[in-house]
Amino acid sequence: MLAKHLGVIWRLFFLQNSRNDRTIDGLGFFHILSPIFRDLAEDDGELKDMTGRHLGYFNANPILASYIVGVVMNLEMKKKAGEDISAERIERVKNTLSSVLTARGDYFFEVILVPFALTIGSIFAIYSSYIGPVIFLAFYNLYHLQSRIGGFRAGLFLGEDVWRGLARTLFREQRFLGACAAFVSGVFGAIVFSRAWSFGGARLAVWGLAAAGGVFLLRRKFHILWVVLAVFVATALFLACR
Amino acid sequence: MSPILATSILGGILAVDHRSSVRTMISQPLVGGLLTGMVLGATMEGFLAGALFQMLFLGNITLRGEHAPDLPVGGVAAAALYILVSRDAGNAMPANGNILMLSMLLAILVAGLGRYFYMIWEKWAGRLADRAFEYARNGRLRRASAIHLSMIFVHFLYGFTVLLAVLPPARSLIAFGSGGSAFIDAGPPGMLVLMVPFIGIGSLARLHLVRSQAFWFAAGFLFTVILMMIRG
Repeated sequence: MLAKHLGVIWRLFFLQNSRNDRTIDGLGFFHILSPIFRDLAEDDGELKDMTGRHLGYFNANPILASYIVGVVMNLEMKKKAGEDISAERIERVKNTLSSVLTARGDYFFEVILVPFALTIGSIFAIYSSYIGPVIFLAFYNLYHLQSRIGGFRAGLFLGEDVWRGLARTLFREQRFLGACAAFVSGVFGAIVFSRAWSFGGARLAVWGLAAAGGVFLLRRKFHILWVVLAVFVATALFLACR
Repeated sequence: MSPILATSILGGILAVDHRSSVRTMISQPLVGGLLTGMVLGATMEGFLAGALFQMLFLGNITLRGEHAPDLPVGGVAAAALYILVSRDAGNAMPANGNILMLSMLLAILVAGLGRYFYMIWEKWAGRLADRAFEYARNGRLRRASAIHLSMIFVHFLYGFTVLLAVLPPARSLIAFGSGGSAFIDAGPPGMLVLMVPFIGIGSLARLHLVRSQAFWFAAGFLFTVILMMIRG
């Protein structure tokens, strides 16, 4: 059984391989669970019935999807054991968890953790220290692996009950880390500004602030790619004309 | 192995990390630049270019359903171009500013190319997923899984091919563009190195200047300024 669980955890790392516009990660979700279906089903009819329930749309935060995989496995095993669990109930639990965990996971990982860890790494990079990437990888992967592996285990052993406390307790440190991320960003800003002032003079520092302001304002309307490209070219031209 | 081939293989591996949800984040340019530098035997230069490319997009967040620039391949391109062209130029310091600037510029375009490639690919991959579901409905689960897994090669091939195709002409282009008198001095601490992080600050400010976090952003800024003034 442990080998099966390790197999599922391994497959979780390839959830988004076949990401597409129509079913998002539906095929990836099916791929993760397919060995379990083969084990649980006693004949071809039951296998088709079981797989048919999980062929379709699936859209969740890739890291926290492990909770959902665990819960769905738990429910399928209980259903197989004879408990009265309908296909609609499994689908409902899957959809509810997807919505809740995607909102929480996207905010925690994409808005707080990754920018926070990258800003720390960048501060070290300014001083040409290789420790920046090490801190970034260690800090991010601590949460990442804990959520992936721990989430699958929690979902598998707690089943539907996992969601009761999950939305409330998941990443309790979120607010604290959010404040830390903002603080570190301020530190990064001050270091960059003071270096520009010290080594390049007031004109360079003022242009830097204007560039930052430009990005800040343009991001409201335009995609990051075009904003970065425009401000980068403008900065290069400014340096050329000095 | 030729440096461009080695870099392309690394780009392919990092594209897999980024796209297949392995997500160890070794694909972020901060790390990817360092790895490129190690592969090409110029660790510090690779780290510098990768970190600067990362700083351009520092506060960028990818919203669900949004197609983000392909930073991993862009980061490798920035680092590889900076190292290879600097090496071709004999590491002449005054020219490095030009080389760094043009490397970053081309890397931004490479990142943009990835964005458009995946916009098209994700539309197309829907048909493959439908076919895989058909197999699964007919009890051919292994074949359905094989379709899913085979897409790892698409991600690898994308990173690999783009770098293999872009690096040789871009290397010549940058060498040509950075010849003659250097117009940006990027000697340590080069002007471009000083300026690029400001672009990241703009995105970071956008991220953190909200009611709940603006105080902490300002506190971090003031704390550091006061600390620097005390230390002289």
